[in-house]
Order: sequence, then C-alpha cells, then structure tokens
Amino acid sequence: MTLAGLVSAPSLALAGPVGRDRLRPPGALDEDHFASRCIRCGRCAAVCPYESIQMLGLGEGLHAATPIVEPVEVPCYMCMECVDVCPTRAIEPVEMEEITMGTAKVDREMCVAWNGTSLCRTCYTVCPLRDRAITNWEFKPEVVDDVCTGCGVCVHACPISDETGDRKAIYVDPPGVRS
Amino acid sequence: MIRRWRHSVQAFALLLPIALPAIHVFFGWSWIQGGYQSLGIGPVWFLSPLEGVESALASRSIPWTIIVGAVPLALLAVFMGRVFCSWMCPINTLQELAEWLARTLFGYRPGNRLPMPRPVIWIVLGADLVLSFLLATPLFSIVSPPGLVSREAMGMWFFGLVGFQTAIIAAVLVLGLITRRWFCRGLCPVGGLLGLLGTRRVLNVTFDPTNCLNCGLCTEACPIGLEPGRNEVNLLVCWNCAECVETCPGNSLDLTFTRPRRREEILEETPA
Repeated sequence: MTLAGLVSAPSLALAGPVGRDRLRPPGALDEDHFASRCIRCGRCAAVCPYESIQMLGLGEGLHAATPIVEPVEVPCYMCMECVDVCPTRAIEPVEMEEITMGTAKVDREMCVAWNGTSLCRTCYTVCPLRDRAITNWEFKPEVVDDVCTGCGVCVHACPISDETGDRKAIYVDPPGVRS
Repeated sequence: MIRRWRHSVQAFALLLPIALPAIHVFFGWSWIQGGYQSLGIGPVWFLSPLEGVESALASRSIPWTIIVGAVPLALLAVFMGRVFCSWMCPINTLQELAEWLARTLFGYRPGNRLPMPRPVIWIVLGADLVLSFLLATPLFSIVSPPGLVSREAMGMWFFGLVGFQTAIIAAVLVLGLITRRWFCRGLCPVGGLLGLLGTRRVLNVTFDPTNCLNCGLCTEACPIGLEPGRNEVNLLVCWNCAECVETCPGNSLDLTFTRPRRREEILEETPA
C-alpha cells in the first residue's frame, strides 16, 4: 500500500459481511467506506420499528457491531426512520425510490412460477413498488433492476425455500454483485 | 451535597439508555433514542468526541453532522474537564456500584495504586487514533465499554439476547475490583481525550493548604488514586467527581469555577 493510498482510499483489511440476503440499511455508504465511517452507536438499529436492523457480533472482526439487514429474517419496510439518525452519515438521508440496498434476483429453477409448478405471484403482490420493481408478465415475476430497492420484502414473503430455509427462490444481492 | 447531585445524575445517565429501547419496544416512542456514543433528542443529536475523531480519521472525511454532534460535548470537556466520566459514564457508575457491593457484602476494598505507569493512558489514546487511521476503522468505537452498555441494553430489549461482547464490560468491572477505576484512569481513550480537552478547564477542584490537617482522607477517597493534598487535582486526569471535597474535614478542598489554569499550575503527569 502506498502512502497516497493510505491517505486517500480507506478500505478494510478483511472481507465485508455483506452478501446474498445480508445487506446494509438504506442510504448506507458503499461497502468500501461504510465500516470506516460507522461508529457502531446502534442508533439505526434502535430507531428501526421492525427490528430489521441487527448489529453484527464481535466475530465479524473489524466489521463488528456494524448494522446488517437480513431480509429472510426481517426485511426493510422502507419506513425511512434510520436514514435520518446516523450521526456520522455512514447512512445518508435518501428518498425511498433512491434506495440501493441491493437488487432482487429470481432463482428461475427454484421459483414455482418459473419452473411451471404453480401460479405463485407472492413476490409481485408484496413488492412495495409493485408493477415497477417486480412485473408479472405472463405470470412470471421479473425484477426491474433499476427500480428495485433491495428491501427484501419479496424475499421474506417467498414461500419457496431450500431445506435449510435460508435460501429462497427470490433473493437480494448487495450492490456490485453481477448476476 | 455534591455527591448526592452526582449520584442522581449518574442514576439518570445509567437508566436512560437502558430504558430508551424498552420504551421503543413497548410504546413505539423513539423521539429520544441512542446511547452513550450518540444520543438523539428529536432533531438534535450528540456524538462522543472520540467516536467523531475516530470516524473522521478512519474515513478521511468530516461530515458536518460529526461537528454538530461532537462540539457541544467537546466544549463541555474544555470547560469542565472529564465530567462525563465521573458524572455520566455508566462504566464508572457500575464500577462504583460493584465497589460498594464488595465493601458492603464482603468488607473488600480494591487497591488504589495503579499497577502501571500513569502516562499509559496517553499512549493508549495515541495508539488508538493512529491505528484507527491506519486500519481505516474506528477501533475504540467497536469495543467502547460505555457504548456496549447501551448497545447490549438495546439488544436485550429488541432481540432478547446479549452478545459475548458483554464480557468486555465484565472484564472492566473485574479490573475495577482489583484496582479502583483501573480502566478509567489507565486505559480509556475517551477519558484521555476528554482530559486533554480539559487542559484549561474552569471547573476545578481547588486545594487550600492553610486548613489542611494532613489527615489523608482525600487520598483515600479519590477513586482514581490522586493525592489532592499534593495538589494532584491539577492533573489532566482529575475528573471533578469531588469525592475528595466531600470527604475533607477541614474545608481545604472545593469544587468551584476558577479562571483557566495557567500552564505552570498544571502538574506534569508523574508515575504513580
């Protein structure tokens, strides 16, 4: 690491905790900068009325005590409470439509609408941005990447999961993950 | 008299962040929310100065919200010294309670002599800031014992569980039962920073030797092992708890507003 790199580009030594269905709260800085700015005060978690935001344990190393949203457990209902309380702007105020927690993706082999098992349209029905973020043309749910906020309400509602219950037929990848 | 005031403030400061998440869970009210690292009251917010500095160093940026949140508390330390530590910090309050319990139940008194050089607290503060910058992570923020008190209280009310990071709080309490406020006076970078900010504080414990009986009660009373009778109340680490003032039988000591101390009045930190 050069001295210039040291001064200008903070990035954490360890891999971040973010991944499939493990997301930062809405308005969060990008993952390269989030854990540098966040002071682990817990106010975003404390203000969340749905207990969607959990704080990571010490086992996460340098990312310990940063906030995480796991939509399989509790999704983000985009009430926009947390975006206003962060004292260091690790979470910045955003409008609901601007949220980019991630992007939902349909597992077309697992999804019963896509694999022809049934006419399920749960994700389409529950999506807070129905017909905009998830369309249901010919009874097959499709995510519109540019509109989807990654809130995970669809993930939480999806009735199809693998035997562990952790992987649903629709899931949210954090920003920057290619499908 | 001062002790009663201090204990009232301490009780309030200990119970508020523990009650806040419960009020949120049971009544859905979160107008006041947060803990010791940051507290929000409606549209106003406070931020612990050390957390603010760490975040700024780690992220190489200073959002205006850090300045707005941290400056009031920094000014409190500039004018009044480490009063957060002695009047508000839950870790001090819990250690005081543990000490009182140990004394009442078992007649046990922790030692008062810091088993390490006093200046270590400045080394810890410096190392914390340098490492926070190099690792691009606000290091002390992650494990801050007072921060953990409010965070674990929230975890308890919200999710019905506390993490094993509670062991950090327990370890500090155990240290405090070996030597009084070991962590506060020897290791805590928050206390160090607030002490530094209070270099020219105007709230001071003042010592007037004319009435001094040399009884040594003040030295015994001081929870951070200073000797008020040797004017050690002028040290940066003195946190204005006024325990010495309360104990003094000869009215030699007082907690009072003074002019800012001159440089030559400020004692150098000497190894205990």
